[in-house]
Amino acid sequence: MEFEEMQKIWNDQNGETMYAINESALHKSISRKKEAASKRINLVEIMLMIINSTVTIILFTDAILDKEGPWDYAGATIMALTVVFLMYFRTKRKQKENTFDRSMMGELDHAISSSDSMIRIATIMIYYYLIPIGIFTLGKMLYFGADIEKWLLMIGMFGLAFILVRWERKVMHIPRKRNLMALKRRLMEE
Amino acid sequence: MKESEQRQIFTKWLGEYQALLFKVIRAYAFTSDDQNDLFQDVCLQVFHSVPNFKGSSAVSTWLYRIALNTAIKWSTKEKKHVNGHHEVDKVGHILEARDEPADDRITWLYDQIKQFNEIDRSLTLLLLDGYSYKEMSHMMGISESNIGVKIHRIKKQLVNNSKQYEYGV
Repeated sequence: MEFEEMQKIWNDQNGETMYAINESALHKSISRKKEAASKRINLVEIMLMIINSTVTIILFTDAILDKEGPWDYAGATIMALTVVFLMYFRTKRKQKENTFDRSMMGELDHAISSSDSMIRIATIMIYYYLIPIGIFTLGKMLYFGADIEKWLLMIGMFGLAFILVRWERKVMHIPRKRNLMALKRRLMEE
Repeated sequence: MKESEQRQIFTKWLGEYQALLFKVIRAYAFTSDDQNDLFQDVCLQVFHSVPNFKGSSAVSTWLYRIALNTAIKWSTKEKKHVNGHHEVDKVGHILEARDEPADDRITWLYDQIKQFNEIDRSLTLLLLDGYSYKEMSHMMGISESNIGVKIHRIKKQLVNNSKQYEYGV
């Protein structure tokens, strides 16, 4: 069969209906998917913002009530800055979300760069922020003493944030970036 | 743009260009559950894209681009339905496959397309639908010469395989 004949066969299918669409189910599904997609994406960001805001409030309250010096204010300020950083990152991500005029290469590049920045942010969050701040905060509590409830709360908050960020990096972003890179290679190869 | 207006345009596009979307669905998803899943993803993206459409390209080109980009990204997700253990969407099936096309050669063509990698599948669909190298280059974001090399290989493979099909090998 020559290619032109295949094209003719292909065009003939335009007159046939391959599937029947259940339109009311489709509209319901679009509404559900719209909500589900934004819920999934928002979950980790919002959880991290809540955790960090809670720790910020605890540290600030501690610093004000106990008058333990500039180090407590510094710790609380760093924590507050991470909330601002997360909010900024979230706004930027949302601005870029609805672009539809990219080529396939553009779309892949964008998806790879998004995955890349998510991996970078997760790495920074773990090694340059969560671990040092966690050690600093818990060390301070050990030095000055703290109630068991506060120990549990702080360990729980840091532990949860650590697990969430690591899980997101390992399960979501790294495999996705690997798959996208493989697709890009296939698109570029001759 | 009001949501009612967006919904109206979406419904109109779906009515007029569903054949185009179905081709992409059939080329990228092979089980009924996967076809439903991909179709919902494509429709969601098309729905979101309505306010961004400025008319600089034909609606069919716009939809092809969105459907292919969505299908390519969808194919990087973990395949959940291959073993048939995936829980079907709560709203039930949105697509119901009709009978197989009267011409067996269409089924054969789709079987051939399925064997290509994700990128070549896109090119084959565009090629069969008569898009020029320039249009394909614009949609895919690679050079026309690269498109030419890929198309040459795809055509050669299709024509060779068709010989086996014709002789019933």
